[in-house]
Amino acid sequence: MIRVKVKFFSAHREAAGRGQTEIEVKEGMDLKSLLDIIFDTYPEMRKLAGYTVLSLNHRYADGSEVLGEGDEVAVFPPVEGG
Amino acid sequence: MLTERDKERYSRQIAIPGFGEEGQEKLEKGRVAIAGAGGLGSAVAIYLAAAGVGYIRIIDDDTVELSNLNRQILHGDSDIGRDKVLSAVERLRDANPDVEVEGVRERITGENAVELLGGMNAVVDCLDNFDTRYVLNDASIALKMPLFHGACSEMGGQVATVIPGRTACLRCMFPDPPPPAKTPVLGAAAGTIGTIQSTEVVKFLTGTGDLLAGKLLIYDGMFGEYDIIEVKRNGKCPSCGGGGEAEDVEDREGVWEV
Repeated sequence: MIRVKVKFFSAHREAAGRGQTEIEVKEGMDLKSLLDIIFDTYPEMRKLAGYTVLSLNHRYADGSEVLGEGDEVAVFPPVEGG
Repeated sequence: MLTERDKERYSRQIAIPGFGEEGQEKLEKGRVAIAGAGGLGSAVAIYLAAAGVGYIRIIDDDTVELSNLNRQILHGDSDIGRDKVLSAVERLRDANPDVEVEGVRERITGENAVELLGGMNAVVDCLDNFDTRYVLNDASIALKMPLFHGACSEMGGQVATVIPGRTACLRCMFPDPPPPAKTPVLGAAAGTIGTIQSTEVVKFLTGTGDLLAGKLLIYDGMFGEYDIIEVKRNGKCPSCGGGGEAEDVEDREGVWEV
């Protein structure tokens, strides 16, 4: 098992009710699968599924990336207002 | 050439290391389009005018409403019902009469976007919806014109600088827009995001510092946090095609020359 740190911003933070968490996952898991775990943990956040942007270790991520020990994931929405 | 009045007026920014009178002269030659005279556009325009950007074209087709005034600092109570570009131009000319300001009362569309940006060195995205942002993004790609993106919501927002052909475009970053909605926004959040956009434009025009090119800054004012993430081009991007050739965005020599 490996541990990854997950940070939530804006609407996703409100849905999670917290700014960050640590999640233990199986080695070889990809980011998309982690997002499923996050949505299961914070069901409110699933409503934002279509408006979710991800980064892995401060790089934009598409979900296919395989997670490693100590990785830092950020989950946030695109913002629209002007 | 800077006049003695210019040297005095801009003395506090000319003194910034790497800026100098040369930087000020570059600003005076700068021609910037601002798409939107709302919350972001107000902050961007007032700071670019105050900084002495030579030519500002501000584009908006809306009129001022009472509910705009918590954040749209170009407009005042007496402007309610007037065209936003009118109060914007008046305010900007008052802020700095040495700057040439043009107000364009038009809605940006796929048909007119390239024309509206004609003759400009840069465009600042101060829009409030992604449909028009994608149109602006496509026009900036067609013109190879840098686009300075900003968006705000509640107490935060995001900023990114797009250099067409070199960095991720807006659609690479956000292939799926959020659903259109009246976004709640604190005026200061629009100000925070807009002033970062202004800083980016000034750095671009003067060749100072490093741009947020290929980067997305997200600011969560509600919880006092921010993050900067590197964004990569999407090889399947319907707007920019993703390029394929990963050009080095650090290699900026001559690239942002105006």
